[in-house]
Amino acid sequence: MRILGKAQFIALAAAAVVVFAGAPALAASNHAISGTVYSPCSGNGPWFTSSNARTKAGTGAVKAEFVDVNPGGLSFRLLGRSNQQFGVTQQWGPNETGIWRTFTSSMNNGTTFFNSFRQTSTSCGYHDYNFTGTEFY
Amino acid sequence: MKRTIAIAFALLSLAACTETRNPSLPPALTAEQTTAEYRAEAATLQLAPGWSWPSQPVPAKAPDGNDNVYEPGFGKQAADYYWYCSWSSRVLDPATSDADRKSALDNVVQIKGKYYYLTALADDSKPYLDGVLNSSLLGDYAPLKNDFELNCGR
Repeated sequence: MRILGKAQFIALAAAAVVVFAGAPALAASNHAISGTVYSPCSGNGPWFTSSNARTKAGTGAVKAEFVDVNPGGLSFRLLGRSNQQFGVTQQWGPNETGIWRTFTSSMNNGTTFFNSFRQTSTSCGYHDYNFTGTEFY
Repeated sequence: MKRTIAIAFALLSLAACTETRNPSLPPALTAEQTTAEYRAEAATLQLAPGWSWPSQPVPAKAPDGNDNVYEPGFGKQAADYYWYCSWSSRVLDPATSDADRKSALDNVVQIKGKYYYLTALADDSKPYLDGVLNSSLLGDYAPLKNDFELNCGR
């Protein structure tokens, strides 16, 4: 996942070929993710939505954990094709590494979703906006 | 004239200053800019009969009231997928003639040449769509129907 910054705002704070009679079902697995949240130094700190489309493999849970969380805290959600949110928004504090949190326990096999995130804190002044972790889907 | 030069110099300085705030971070787009990106991609695509482009494809605000910004490419991939959905609908419509279904399917599989498949779709997610397309080419539309129902809400 490539994550980005905020150039338009002055204050950047910143095959397998499988053929089945039904839907192709692959096994869910872990995927490395990383990104950069925006600082709320301008506005309220917008949600940043990745352009990477991800497809749920096998019906079941989507969850994440992080080895590095940005100091201002991380709020993370999953959005669908129609901007609908799947499950709940999860939050990680800056020291909450290695903690799995589940967005939804029942996403259907083949569902496309997008990661969307923001800095949890509304304080301005953090100088590190990066996070790194693992997403299971 | 001197004033014009001074203003231009000031603007260039400001731009340079902004650029150096964090040059490692690529830009994000506002909802308005993402919509423009969507429209530009849509202009290159012809929807299936009976379909029209949405008037507001990208929301500017999240339900919690915060603004939305998007990674560049979000609008482009969204337009590609909407186009794919329109032709999937045509394939799945029982009223579609065999000839029209074949033509529609020709469009559906072209998604593999679009920005959506080539760039936006995560590599680990491509086998799923490959499976949907290959099943359809073999005459099994069940995976396509499932994909449409999951991801093509209008």
